[in-house]
Amino acid sequence: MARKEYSFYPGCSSERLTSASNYMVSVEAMCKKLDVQLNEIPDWNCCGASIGYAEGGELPRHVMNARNLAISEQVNKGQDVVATCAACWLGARETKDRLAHDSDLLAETNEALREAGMNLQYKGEQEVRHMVEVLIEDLGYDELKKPVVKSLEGIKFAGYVGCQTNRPFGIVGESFENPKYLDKLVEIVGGEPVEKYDQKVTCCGGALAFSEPEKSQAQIKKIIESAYDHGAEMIVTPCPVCQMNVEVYQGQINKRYGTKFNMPVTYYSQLMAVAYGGSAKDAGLDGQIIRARKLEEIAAKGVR
Amino acid sequence: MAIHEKSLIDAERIQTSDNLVLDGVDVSGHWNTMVLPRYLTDYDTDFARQIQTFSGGENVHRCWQCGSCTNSCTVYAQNTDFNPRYWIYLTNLGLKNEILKDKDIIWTCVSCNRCTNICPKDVKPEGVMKALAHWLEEEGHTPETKSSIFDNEFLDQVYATGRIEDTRVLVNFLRKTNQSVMPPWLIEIGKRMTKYFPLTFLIHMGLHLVFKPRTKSWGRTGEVLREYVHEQKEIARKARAMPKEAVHV
Repeated sequence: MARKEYSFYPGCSSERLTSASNYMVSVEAMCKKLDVQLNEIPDWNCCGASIGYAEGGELPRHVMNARNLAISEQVNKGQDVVATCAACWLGARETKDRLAHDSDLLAETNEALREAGMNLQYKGEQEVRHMVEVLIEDLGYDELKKPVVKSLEGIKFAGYVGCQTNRPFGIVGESFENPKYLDKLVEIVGGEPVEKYDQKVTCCGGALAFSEPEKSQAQIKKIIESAYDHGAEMIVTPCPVCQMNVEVYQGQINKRYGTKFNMPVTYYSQLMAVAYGGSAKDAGLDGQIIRARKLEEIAAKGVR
Repeated sequence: MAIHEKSLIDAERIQTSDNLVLDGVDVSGHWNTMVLPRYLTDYDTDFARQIQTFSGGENVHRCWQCGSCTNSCTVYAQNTDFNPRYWIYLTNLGLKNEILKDKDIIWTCVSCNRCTNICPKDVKPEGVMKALAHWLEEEGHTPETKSSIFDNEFLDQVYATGRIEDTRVLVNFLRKTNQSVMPPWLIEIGKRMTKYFPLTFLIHMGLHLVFKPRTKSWGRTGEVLREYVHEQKEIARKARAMPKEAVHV
């Protein structure tokens, strides 16, 4: 019996062979060491991340999230819902919030689920939480430190939080302007956080990545440049969209601006998987486009 | 540019005489700069209500013009023509023609939610940007924007299968916007991936594009949502067409 159990919403980008599948791998390794059991919501659907304002109002995205949450209420009774993806968490969290405060919207949502032929009713029984909240609130930094067998000593990390886990809801107990949890997570695994990283909550411009690439790349440039200016060797983030955007366009940015960026962008869970004694593969480091060599080296070393 | 909103004044209304002496005082050049007054008569007093019928625009009337949205805006920091406070002001005044001057950039909001997070009146400026962009499309002032094309592609996949496959959304989007389906950065990623991943991985990835991920019990959910959206669109259109005397906002 695991120490803690959660109803898990992995989301589209975590699936095998998609952009954040390595995030998922590292989360699994991390949770195993922490004795946290993730019970996947069976047959979940997309959170509607990119349809925020498709016409027809907000109902469609609430129906989509409520469907997942209602299945979770039926199957994973009494557990909090946990998402790893920032967009999935934001979507589900917003639905929970809106339906809790609007009984008409709740009734409409449930009617749509009925109409769709699902024997489901969303009641709003479970909390919706981000994996980071589970780590820092339910387990706490002291517990997170216990399984550490390798120190990430000598690596300087810039903790890049981005938008979706920060606005409008934010991680419980953290400031919007200067959230500290990534820095603290870096510290407990023995790394050195860049305390004065000034682009922590800057938007990566992901929404324009494919339609106005020069604009989104101008954002990314600021984010990486500041990390270099503060002596960081790697960026660490809780968001799959941030991770991808900040990592994959560095070559393009180098061409456009004559920079020489080659900054690995990792997930918090990858640092923890390595610090907990996992191999590079366990930590999903083989899924990096820009390899996190220093982490790989530590992962390859035996536990002292 | 010390007073940035000078850019909001039409250039031809800013007048400066190179040589001017008033009461014996030489005020040549910028000392005599005057802004010619203008008289606006084309107010559409129903415009704010129209915008409120678009998803995201519901709270536009609450704005008290503190300017926090523009101050915090990610896009404004790159381009000072992107000015949410000003567009909200114009919306509430009903100055459609002024908004039309910026019709080609309104859709470029990145939804970072800095504005919505900081707004003291819960106007949800990020939503207003989307509402304005949809209004511009609906009235034919702009072609379907890239952001709408992306969202619709995303939505179509969700309706059909309950899930999305990120590579497929991207490839279809690039195709629909007449861009190369193999932009240089994607080729670069591909090259790096082939360095690390065995061939079987890439074959799997290709298969993933053919055999789409899906939610098995999705059933009629997509259809129900599609019908609902269609209905709501019609209801909103009718509400917009109603004479303004007949409605209370």
